[in-house]
Amino acid sequence: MTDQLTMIRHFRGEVAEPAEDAWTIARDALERAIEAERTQHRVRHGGRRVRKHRHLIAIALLVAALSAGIAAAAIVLPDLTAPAPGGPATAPPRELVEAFAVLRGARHGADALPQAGASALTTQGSFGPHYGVNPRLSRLLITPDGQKLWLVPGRDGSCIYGPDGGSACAANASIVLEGLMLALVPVDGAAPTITGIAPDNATVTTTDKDGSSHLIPLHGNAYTVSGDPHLARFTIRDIDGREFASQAPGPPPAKLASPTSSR
Amino acid sequence: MGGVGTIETGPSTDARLVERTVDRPEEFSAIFERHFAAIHRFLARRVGNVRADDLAAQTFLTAFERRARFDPAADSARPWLFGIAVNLMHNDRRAERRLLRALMRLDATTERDPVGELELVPARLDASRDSARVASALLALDQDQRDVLLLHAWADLSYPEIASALEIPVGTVRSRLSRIRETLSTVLDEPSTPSEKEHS
Repeated sequence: MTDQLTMIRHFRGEVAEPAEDAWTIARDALERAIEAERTQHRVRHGGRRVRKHRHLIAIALLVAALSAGIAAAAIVLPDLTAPAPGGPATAPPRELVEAFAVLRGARHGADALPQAGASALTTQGSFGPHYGVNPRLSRLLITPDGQKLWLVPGRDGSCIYGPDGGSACAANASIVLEGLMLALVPVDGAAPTITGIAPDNATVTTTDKDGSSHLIPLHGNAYTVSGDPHLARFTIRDIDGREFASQAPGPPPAKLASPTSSR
Repeated sequence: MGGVGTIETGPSTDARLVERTVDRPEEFSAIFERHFAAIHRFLARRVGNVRADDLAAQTFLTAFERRARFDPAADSARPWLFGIAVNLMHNDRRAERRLLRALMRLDATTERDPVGELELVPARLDASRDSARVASALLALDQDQRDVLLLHAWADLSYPEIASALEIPVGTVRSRLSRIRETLSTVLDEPSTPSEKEHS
């Protein structure tokens, strides 16, 4: 065995030290994970209840694109759930890459979509196959309050998958202008938690029912608005000054509302 | 008599570092800097440099996410990290077999690197002379046996460390090595083929 082991040891050769790129890619990925955890740690200890919706029975979610009407369109257009003719995308579409910085870096292990998300977005008849979404192209985004959100590009449209299992999809042509958001609407009538993505250099502003406006912080392309009961409207302003406004998500459908939440 | 304080003067052990990352996750970077090269080299030998880049990065991300499970009694994180790396590698079993098959075809006369696409260059030509036989021997082992053997031969882990990495009893490590010995004897002790003799 000693001779055999010597031979095996010899066979291992002298592989080069990891290239500088390998160090950089791995270090960056780890630093992102560390930063995400540190952010969550700060939030957990900061006294704010940013994850309030986790303590609620949230309805699985309201597919909500900033372009209001995407959900409604799903109902009236019979072919919206038909699979994309070309199948899943093999690479993120160029227009999406140009609009979202998160797609321009290398893909790392941490970007992998959770299995539940991959299943949800590839189920036949869902929006994922219709848009040619490919879970293998997913990228992880971390919102300013530390929540995870995945952008899953597709051939004609893309989806975001949220930390609590909800997802939202829309056409790429819409996403590159207006972004995409996901609203978790608690069935007890509490205010929704909104997580979304905005294109590079865009600003996100909310307007309350009293007319006051608030600039929403972005971390990369991601943002969150957590449980604001006064929220009335969302506005995305792109780098050219164009504005895309939409109403804040309303209450859940009556039949989904918790009986205990009626007032 | 008053108590005697202790002052930590040397570098922190991995266990202490990992323990501290509970409150200070950024300290996990020290584990990365300490062990990344060894993990990457091991993976590069087994699946080639290209796959190693990705798998090595994933190894440390996985380790970071699972650091609460690290055994504080273990001084070094090496076995734990190698264990994670091996598990990740199993997700792409074909990569290693592809590399070994390529090495079996190693052309010793031209010193050409037949696995250039995998960016693995054998160290020396006299090693390449035996490459086909060794690659063939490694292919004759099953995945579990190969893990044990290569953690020992290439990662220089001790039997207890291999047991820890693969989460198997030390006795199993020994018995696997025993079976490996038999397999290697059969394959490596066979006379060289004529074509190999020409090269030798």
